[in-house]
Amino acid sequence: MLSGWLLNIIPLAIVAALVTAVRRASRKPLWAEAIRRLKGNRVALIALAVIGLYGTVAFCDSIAWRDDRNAPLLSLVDRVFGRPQESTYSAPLAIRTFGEPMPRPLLGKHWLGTDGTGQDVVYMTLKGCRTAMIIGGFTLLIATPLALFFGMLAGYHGKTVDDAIQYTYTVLDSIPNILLLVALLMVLGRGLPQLCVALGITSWVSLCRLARGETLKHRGREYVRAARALGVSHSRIMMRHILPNLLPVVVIATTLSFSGLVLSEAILSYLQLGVAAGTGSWGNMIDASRLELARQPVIWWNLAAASTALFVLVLAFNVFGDALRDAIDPRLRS
Amino acid sequence: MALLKVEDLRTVIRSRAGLVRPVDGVSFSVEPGQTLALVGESGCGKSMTALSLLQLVPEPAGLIESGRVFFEGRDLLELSWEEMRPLRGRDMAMIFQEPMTSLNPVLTVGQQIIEAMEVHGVARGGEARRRAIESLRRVEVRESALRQYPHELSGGMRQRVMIAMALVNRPKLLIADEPTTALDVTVQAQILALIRELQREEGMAVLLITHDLGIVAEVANHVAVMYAGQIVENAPAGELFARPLHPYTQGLFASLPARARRGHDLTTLEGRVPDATAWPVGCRFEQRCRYRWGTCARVAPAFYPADAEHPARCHLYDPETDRPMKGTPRAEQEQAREIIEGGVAS
Repeated sequence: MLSGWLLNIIPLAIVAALVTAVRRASRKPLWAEAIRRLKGNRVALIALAVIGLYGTVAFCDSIAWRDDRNAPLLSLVDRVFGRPQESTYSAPLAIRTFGEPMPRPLLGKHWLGTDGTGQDVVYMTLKGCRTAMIIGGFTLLIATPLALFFGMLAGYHGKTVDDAIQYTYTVLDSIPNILLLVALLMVLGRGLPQLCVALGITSWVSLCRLARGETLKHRGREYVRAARALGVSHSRIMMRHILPNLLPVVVIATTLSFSGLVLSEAILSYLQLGVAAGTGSWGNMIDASRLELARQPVIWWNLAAASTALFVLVLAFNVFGDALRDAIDPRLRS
Repeated sequence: MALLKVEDLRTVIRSRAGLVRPVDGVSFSVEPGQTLALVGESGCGKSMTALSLLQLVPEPAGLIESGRVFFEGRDLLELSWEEMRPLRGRDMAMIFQEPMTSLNPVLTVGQQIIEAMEVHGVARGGEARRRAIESLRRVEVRESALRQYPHELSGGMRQRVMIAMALVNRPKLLIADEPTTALDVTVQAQILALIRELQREEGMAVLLITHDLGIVAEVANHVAVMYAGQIVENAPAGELFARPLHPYTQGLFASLPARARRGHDLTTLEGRVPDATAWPVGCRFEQRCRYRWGTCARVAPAFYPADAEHPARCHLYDPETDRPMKGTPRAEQEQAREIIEGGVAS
């Protein structure tokens, strides 16, 4: 097991990488222009702020340390939002447990009540942020390089290479996604990394298609011919000349598919194929609420919190993705 | 020995309409330090010839069918893509017609010039940077352009950058495909003067592809006139301007706007270039030629006189020509010469 402080480096590195990428991009003409246009779009800025808020929660949940050698590893979120565990359900802002013949007084105050195991719902919802971000981010980290590699190879070389790659992803794409996911998760087992790998394998196809088409378009451009005339090798033309020109569409596509990935986590959890039960995730919360909704009186707060959190994040990503597309390529707006 | 010697080059392009033959048996040679102008109207196969030399015909549709391209004695067409790569950009460089799109929009000018050196291992790091600045200075572009992106430069500046990129490795042959067509007339003259000056300094040979006879008169030592995928006339520049042989060349000269007289219609070449998917059996210019007779439509002309310095692909100059009325072309030629000399004088 990695020691506590080493685990903290990963979220810090991710944030540092993001900041560096944005700062470097802002010096490139195309991105600078896009950023300028985004700044004028209030809805996009709100969406970005919402995404940033989720990101911050996920980040705070990833920074963890022990108070002493034997104490449990607690993240910032655990420390701030951790609440005493109750014995069972309690309604929002209630002072007694819910649904028991003999309601017991609660140990703490719970804004959105507690779930069946007595966990605070606000706390669980916040814990779900990290899971959602990891699923979206790491899946894309797996799927995007895969898609770009094969897409560019197919688009650039054409002929047999193109046929082989196209055939592969068409076959992969013709298997119903959910079926493939179930099969993969059966093989890989249940867990966050496994889920990312499985989603990565099933979600690279559309991006690969996009990358192939864009590469095909750029391959015929004058600047590629000029690079060839200078004696630049195929691999270098792909990496250095075509790839940076693909990045705008790739960024748009990944932003828009992020929300889809977060949603599929919820769906998979509902099918008992999501992350392990112990990991806080919105999917698991929604899954648990299946039984809660059948109870009388209904326990709604668990479902409401998780689905609102999910809905707001997905909405923010979709809005921001669309705004990003408009900002990067205003011609698409029509 | 010629630096570049092209023999019977044939390039085909597969298209929906059938097999197009834009380059159909082209031969010419370029001497070291000299400028050969390849002249012809758009669509005659000039650019495709240039791309064939570097084996850059658009794939997968294009294909070099046959021919030989000797560069310093080596047949380039026998080299693979990877074997060809060290030559491109180092021994033979090319500049394109469109300076607006021939530079990568997402890389700075400096990155692109330095890359031209790095891929050939000529220089890297600070040395590459120093040489990039030096080459920019030679084309009279300020040093700060190094950090700029192509879209921040004007068309003339971009073409200068293209030239700087092409020349940074001091190639032996520069292939310039319509280098000034997309530019303003004032910038055109500057760019041409620049190419000529650099050529003198470096002793580099230039293959200049153009449709503009004004440019040819200014810079070329030797001219090859191209029509419908073939070279139809080949001559030293002075000789060609003084005595254009092929009826097509004569027509080109006659239709120069500079030769027109006020109040008269501009002279034009009637008709159109034949379809490249099915070249005529006989002379390709036959449909538009004012001297044509029966033989022209039936027999493809060879170069006459075959061994001379100034041959033309036309039955008129066949020593055994069966032309019904002899003598006329000479008179036409005299007339053309008068027009040209009048034009040059003005």
